[in-house]
Amino acid sequence: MALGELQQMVMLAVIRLGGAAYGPAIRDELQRVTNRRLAVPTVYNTLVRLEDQGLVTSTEAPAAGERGGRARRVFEVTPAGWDALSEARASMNRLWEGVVRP
Amino acid sequence: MTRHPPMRPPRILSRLLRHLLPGPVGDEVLEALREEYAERCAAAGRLRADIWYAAHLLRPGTWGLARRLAARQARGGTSTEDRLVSELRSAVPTLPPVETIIQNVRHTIRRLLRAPTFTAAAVVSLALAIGANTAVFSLANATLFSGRGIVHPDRVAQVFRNHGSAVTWNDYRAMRDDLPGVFADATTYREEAIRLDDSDDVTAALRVSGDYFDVVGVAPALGRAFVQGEETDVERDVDIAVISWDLWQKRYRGDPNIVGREIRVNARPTTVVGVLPEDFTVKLVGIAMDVLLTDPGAVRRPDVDNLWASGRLVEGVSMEQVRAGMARIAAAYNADRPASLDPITFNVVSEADIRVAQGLDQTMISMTALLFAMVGLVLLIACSNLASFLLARAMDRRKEFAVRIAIGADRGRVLSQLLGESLLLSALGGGAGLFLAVWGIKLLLRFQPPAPVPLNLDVPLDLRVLAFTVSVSLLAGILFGVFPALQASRAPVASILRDESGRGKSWHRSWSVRGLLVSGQVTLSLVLLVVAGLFLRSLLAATRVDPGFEPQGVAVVTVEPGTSGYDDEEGHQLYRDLLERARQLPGVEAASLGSRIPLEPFGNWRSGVRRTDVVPTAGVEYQWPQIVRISPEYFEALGIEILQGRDFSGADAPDAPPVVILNEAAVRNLWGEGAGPERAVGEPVVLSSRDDAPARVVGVVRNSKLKTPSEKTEPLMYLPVSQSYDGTTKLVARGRSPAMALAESLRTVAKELDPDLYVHDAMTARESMSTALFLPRMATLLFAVLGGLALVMSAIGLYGTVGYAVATRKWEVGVRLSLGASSLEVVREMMSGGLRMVAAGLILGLGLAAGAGLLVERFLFGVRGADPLTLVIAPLVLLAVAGFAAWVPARRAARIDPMEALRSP
Repeated sequence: MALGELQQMVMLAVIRLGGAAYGPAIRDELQRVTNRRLAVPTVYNTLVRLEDQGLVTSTEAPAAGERGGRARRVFEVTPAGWDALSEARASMNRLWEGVVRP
Repeated sequence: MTRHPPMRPPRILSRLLRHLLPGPVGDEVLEALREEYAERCAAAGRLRADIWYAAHLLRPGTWGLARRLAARQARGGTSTEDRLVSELRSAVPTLPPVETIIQNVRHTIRRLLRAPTFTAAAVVSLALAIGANTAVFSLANATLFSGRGIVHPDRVAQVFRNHGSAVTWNDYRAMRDDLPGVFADATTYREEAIRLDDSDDVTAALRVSGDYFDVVGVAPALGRAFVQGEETDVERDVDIAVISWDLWQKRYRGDPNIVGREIRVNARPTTVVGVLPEDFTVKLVGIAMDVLLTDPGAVRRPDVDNLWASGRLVEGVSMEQVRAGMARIAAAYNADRPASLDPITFNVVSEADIRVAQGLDQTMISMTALLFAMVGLVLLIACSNLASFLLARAMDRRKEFAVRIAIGADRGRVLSQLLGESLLLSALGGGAGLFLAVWGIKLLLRFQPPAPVPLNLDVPLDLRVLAFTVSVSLLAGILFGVFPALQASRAPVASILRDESGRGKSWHRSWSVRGLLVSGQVTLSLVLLVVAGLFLRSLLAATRVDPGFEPQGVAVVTVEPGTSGYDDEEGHQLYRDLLERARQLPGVEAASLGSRIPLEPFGNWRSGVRRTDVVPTAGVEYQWPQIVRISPEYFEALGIEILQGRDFSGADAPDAPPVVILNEAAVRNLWGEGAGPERAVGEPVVLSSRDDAPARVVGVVRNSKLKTPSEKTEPLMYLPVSQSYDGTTKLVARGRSPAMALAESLRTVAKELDPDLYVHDAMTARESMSTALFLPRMATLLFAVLGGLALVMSAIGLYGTVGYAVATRKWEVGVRLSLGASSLEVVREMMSGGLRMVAAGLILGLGLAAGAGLLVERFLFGVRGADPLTLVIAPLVLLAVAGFAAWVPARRAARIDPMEALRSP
């Protein structure tokens, strides 16, 4: 299954954030690294879709004090997700092989 | 320092979002949005934050997430209910999900923005057409469809003399006293223009008597109503008034002590005894009345027919019983009347059957119907124009659709997309049209008709108007959108994809459909143009009518000593002083007083007059000509010819023998059809106002038009103001100086004599005359605007159609030019197609227009419905405009470079 650009970006952000990958943090990370500001529902839409496809999972993390004591969902990339990501990267690499800008 | 709680997004928006996004994920999204909202509020302000937040409702991401969450719920739910719900959901045929619709709208907007000229032209023409329809509807809504505030109007009968005339105080007394058990309450009322608190503006007032409040079924919100008996109390020192809520709020600033406050009405102290409820407006002939006064004058002149009378029926009494009762009263009257006179009849009408005013309803309804028909035609033309353009666009995009259908898009989706485009256009046009209508009505109401009181016509933009506009827009969108959409979605995919040039059979069909649309537009435009032309001819005929006087160089000003606190003696003195000063003005050739000048559309003052040699039987055998109270030199000042006898003179003093002057029509009325002026001069006549001594006819003058140029000639009787004083008069002067300047001088003269004197309406006789033509002029203007609009739209339609033909036949033109055709031939060829459609439309249109002319004939004056001149000129105008509209794009065809045209595919 081919991954879209947005899906790859979100998954990579989840991995980079380690244990702190909850929605707003993912969004902030994406903005910090790629300079793209995504809408909140778009980020969650991608996450829920990835979750439905079994590429990420989420667990409810105990609330952090500064967030007003609310429970939040932390995401993690599953082995299947890792596979899909590596496959996507490998396809791109194969495609780039021998490509030289004139 | 107190810490403000963080700003929260608008509740309705967050609720909507919450509804879309259920479950814990939704919680998190909303929480994140709330935080960002608070930050944005602090940084960019509440409004921007609100817009940002609301935009989330339209984001594809939101809707995508909503769909996923809903699917999750349906899958993940394990309870019986959850399963039931998901089964039900799958059973119900799925409507297009909201996000698809929103996506479609966004898509459509983007596509429309890519053709800005087309979109702008479409929206503007729709806005004009829908705006015109909305304006007419809201006017009808304000007048015909809004009630008059009477409670249970079906239980209230209005009584008229003969067909729709006012009644006398005697009639009212008979109806109240001689019909026991018929009327529970009865009232009379009449309008009067009053001067409130000595201001120079005129206020509309209603003089009432009897149980006015019970008949209407309204009780004052503050204070009290008039009490039986006091309403006709002639001897009372202080007058009393009930005022409208509006007047209380606006003029008296909601004064809490308004009840008991003294105001001034016509310079007389008047006590406010009550205020009407906020939601109640007294309306007479659609005009809002702000002051209710008692009517002591009605009792003083019991046989003057200037009162309206209504009564509330006793429970169980039917309108038929009222009619029978009034017929008995009429029979008693007629028993004493000589057979030579027309018998008196009474007409009883249920208030529930009166829309605006008896006698006015028919005209208003047919005028409104005519206006609706006209704006409806304009809308049809706009729709056919758009249909034609959309058809052309759809043909250009045929290939796109064919490809989409070929790769699996279903035809329904293509159809709905095209229809969506037209509906969006009509929605935009409708919105702009609403705006135009509001603005147009404001503009229209600025043309105040020349009424004795200001016309406070309230034209509300209520739900009914909105509903009308929405339905008209929807209807228009479907009307112009459905055919092009069907054409495009039915495209024969295979042949389109094969045929590279894109000109198959269906192109020809579309061409012929567009041709039909152009013909239809021409037909409808011709109808509108002919109607506009007929009204113009009618207006011209009315301005050419001989008014019976010479307005050149004449100026008038109205002075009202009566409402400025003068008694009769002082008034006479003022009149003498006024005349003396006016005659001394430089350039003045003649100056006079007159209660009216010819061609004033308002005012009825009549007096009974009869010959002395006709034996009176029961006192009801008078003729009732309109009267004009004048001073010497009136006929000279106005240029009315004295046919026989003499003018009034200074010798006709108050104590001298009474004298009158008649016009020719009055002479014929009294002495029979063949009677000439010489028959009347020197004859004695008896006036109803002073039947102790007969008056002598000292002169006969030419007929002049009293109110409108189109009226039948009215019998007039002139009385010397010295012998029949009235507290209101006009100062009339003819001079060699420009009439405009003279009017101002007359005003100054009056104000110099007494700065407190009520002086108003200084104008030239020509200006005054033009008010008599106000309605025909307005009607002509309206129809001319609509006709012009139709003409322009048809021209645009033809221009577009011919232009499209030129563009698609470029190659063919190239071939012809290279084979030696002259550019003239090419132009002729390109134009001939368009002009054939125009010709077809004209032929059909002529028939329809002649029919329409006959329908509007009743509104016309001096011109027949089938007016040959109009029926020749209107098609010629249309043909000229159409020829130009076809020539412009056709000329472009002739300039095509054949080489380039042949090289292009």
